[in-house]
Amino acid sequence: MAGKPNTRRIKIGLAGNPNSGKTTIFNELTGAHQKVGNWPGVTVEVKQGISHHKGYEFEITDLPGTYSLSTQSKEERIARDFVLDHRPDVIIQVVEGPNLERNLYLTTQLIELEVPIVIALNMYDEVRAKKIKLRLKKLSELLNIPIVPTIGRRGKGMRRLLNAVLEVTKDGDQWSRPVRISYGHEVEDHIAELEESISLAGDLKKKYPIRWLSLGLIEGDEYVASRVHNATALHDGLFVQALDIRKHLAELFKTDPEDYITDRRYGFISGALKESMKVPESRGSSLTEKIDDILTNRILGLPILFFLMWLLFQATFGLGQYPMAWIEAGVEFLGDAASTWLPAGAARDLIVNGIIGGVGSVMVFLPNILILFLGISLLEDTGYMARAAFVTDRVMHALGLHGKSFIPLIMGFGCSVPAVMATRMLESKRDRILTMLIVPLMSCSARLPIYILFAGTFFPEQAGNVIFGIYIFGILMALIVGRLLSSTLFKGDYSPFVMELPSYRLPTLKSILIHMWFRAQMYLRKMGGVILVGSIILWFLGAYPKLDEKPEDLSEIENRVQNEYRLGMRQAQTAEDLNIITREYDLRMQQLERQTNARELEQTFIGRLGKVLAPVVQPLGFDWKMGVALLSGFVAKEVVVSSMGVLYAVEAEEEALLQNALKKSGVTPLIALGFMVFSLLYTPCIASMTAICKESGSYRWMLLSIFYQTGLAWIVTFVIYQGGRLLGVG
Amino acid sequence: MHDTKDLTSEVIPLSALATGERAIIARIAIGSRLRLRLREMGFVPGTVVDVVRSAPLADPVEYKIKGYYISLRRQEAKDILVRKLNGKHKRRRFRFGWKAKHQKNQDWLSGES
Repeated sequence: MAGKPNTRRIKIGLAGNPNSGKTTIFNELTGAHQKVGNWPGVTVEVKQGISHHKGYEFEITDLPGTYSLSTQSKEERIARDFVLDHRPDVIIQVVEGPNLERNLYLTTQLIELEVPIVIALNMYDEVRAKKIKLRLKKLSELLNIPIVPTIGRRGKGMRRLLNAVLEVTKDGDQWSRPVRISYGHEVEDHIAELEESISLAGDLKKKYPIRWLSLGLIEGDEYVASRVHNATALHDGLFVQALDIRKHLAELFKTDPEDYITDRRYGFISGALKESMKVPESRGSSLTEKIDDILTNRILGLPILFFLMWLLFQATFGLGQYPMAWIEAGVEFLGDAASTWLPAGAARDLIVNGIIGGVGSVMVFLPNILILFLGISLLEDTGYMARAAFVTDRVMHALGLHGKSFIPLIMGFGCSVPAVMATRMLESKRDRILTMLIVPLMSCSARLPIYILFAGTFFPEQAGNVIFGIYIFGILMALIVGRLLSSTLFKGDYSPFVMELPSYRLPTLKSILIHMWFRAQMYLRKMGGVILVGSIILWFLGAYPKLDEKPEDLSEIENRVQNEYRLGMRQAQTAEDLNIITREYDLRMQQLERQTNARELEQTFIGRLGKVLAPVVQPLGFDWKMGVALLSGFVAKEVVVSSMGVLYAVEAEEEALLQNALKKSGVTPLIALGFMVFSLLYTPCIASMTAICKESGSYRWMLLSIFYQTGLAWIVTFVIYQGGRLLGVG
Repeated sequence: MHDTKDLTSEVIPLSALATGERAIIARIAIGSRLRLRLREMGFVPGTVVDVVRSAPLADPVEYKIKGYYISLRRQEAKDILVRKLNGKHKRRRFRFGWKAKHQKNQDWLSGES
């Protein structure tokens, strides 16, 4: 609306099957001009972008990938609602060229929504390479839809795609009349019958395509029915009529009408393809089959999966080490600069200790997280993720889960928030919620800093193995909890395992980077927002209320030390004696200052909170500071480390690191192990809780998730600590 | 694509096929939701299905249909009724030395259910 007067806006929805290369085309069309839009009503992140061409502005919405529009899954509902409610000017359907037949099924449904369509026949290079003969013009005529060959990964065909969009938006053009898929005269007679009744039912025909409504009612589509229900008061008559028709057709075809209609759609497609496509007799196996002979091999399949996971973690931690050191140095420099340049006082304290210290200690882990996300993007975009689900389904199924649950669970290693969102790919609600509840047990990247700190300090020789062990332990707990929940709270039917194994494709650097960047952005945003606020609140809680004056007993000691020093100075005879006395004095004064600081901290809000909590965490071997740090992890798990920084900086000497401070405070390797396990298992962070609440549609699942996890964490850590002490390890 | 002369008249579950075998879908005998999903994915009567491979733990099974690959659990494939196509359809597969010799027709779990 605010655009320049001579630019016209064209609203485009980008639809397509999963793995059709839709996102690559979206990236090519919109480049860097994209944002994640928030979808009203649903918690789906739908990306939107802008593209300019020939003086027009194209507003492109990347719809979720779907195989059909039958509203069985959330994605399908979103795609369908977009067409119905947002009224795009054009839908571009991205079609996987070498897999035309099944991809065109979605087209048949889009046609019925009576929206102008342009088909992007993607991966045209592969079509050529496979020697598939396609008569594009013929197919385009048969569907009455312009078809533009594209090669998304090389950015080819984009301008022609937008030209075709412009062409279909012109009025009175050849494309304006949609092709009609005939369902045979029995069904067609009934469609006509229903159409007549619908046109009498007030506004209904103005709101929705009338043929689509009739078909939907005949198919018994509940979603169409609810739309009808909301749009007209005369719905009951229509429903009765539709039910009679369904009965009649079911008797006639000896199958449900929706089956028959689906068959007719595929019939239409094979009819059209018979006239326009010739696939050569395949000689030997395709490349994908050859790769799968190895990757999903009976013997090698699982070891390869585990190897890849192991590789991912080695890369994350090994490679991440180097940039980590640079960032660490940068943060330190910034802190020093700030303390030099800013005047002493509460403001400096806030900036140096609260903001730079808090956010900095989290920023250090950005390289690790980027590498992890890069790896996950690679696994997803090549098509390996589906194989991982294929290979693991047997185990997942035995545990009451679904092979597809494997993917959100793996993503849980990155961040629980997108992982909880990824449960959307599961079709049954039961599977979705069950997976959501155990996703937080997969150790997210935010917990990594805790492990790196503790494993690095207390198990320096074995840090990698200990961390790997923690991850494995999380997986084990997830499997046990999954099994328990699915045999108690979620007793019931298992959902089917119908999953495409897409062709392997080398993703482009661009799409991998964009994919990774979006993931990293989420992490960065969290850092900028939640963690910044968390750090400031924590700093405040740790700094106030201040002590009015020095505690009396400590002042007394101070006086005594000073008197002794003066006395010693007078009595000293040699320069060496003077040195010894001075050194001793400095040491004692420092000790005194630390004691004062500790007293001060005890006075603060955090200290008081910690004291209250102490008896709860004491049986786990944690002191009150560890308890407070864990408490701050509710905000975000990254905060645990930064709050330890704030809490222990008090005791640490100027040059000492948090590591030394921890060692000095009496933490043993056994306690460190317990702390890592507790961090692994206890409550999800606020962001994850919110995601669980929204995705499950009920706060009760969120509460369950908080309480069961915290309870589990306490019990397991208790067993580890007390058991370890009994065995004499601690 | 296929010769109807090769078609056996007997209707058997898809899960009873061994790796490498080919069949034509006759009918889907599953409850409505899944049936619709399978049909949308291309499991419509008259379509050719190839059994590509079983997962390492024998379940699920990978099929080729309408030019693409899809996996189903045996439990689900049991309710898809097919007519087996005779004749040789086995593709040459990459096998590891010792395994290759023993693999021939030894899909040990494919006969179950």
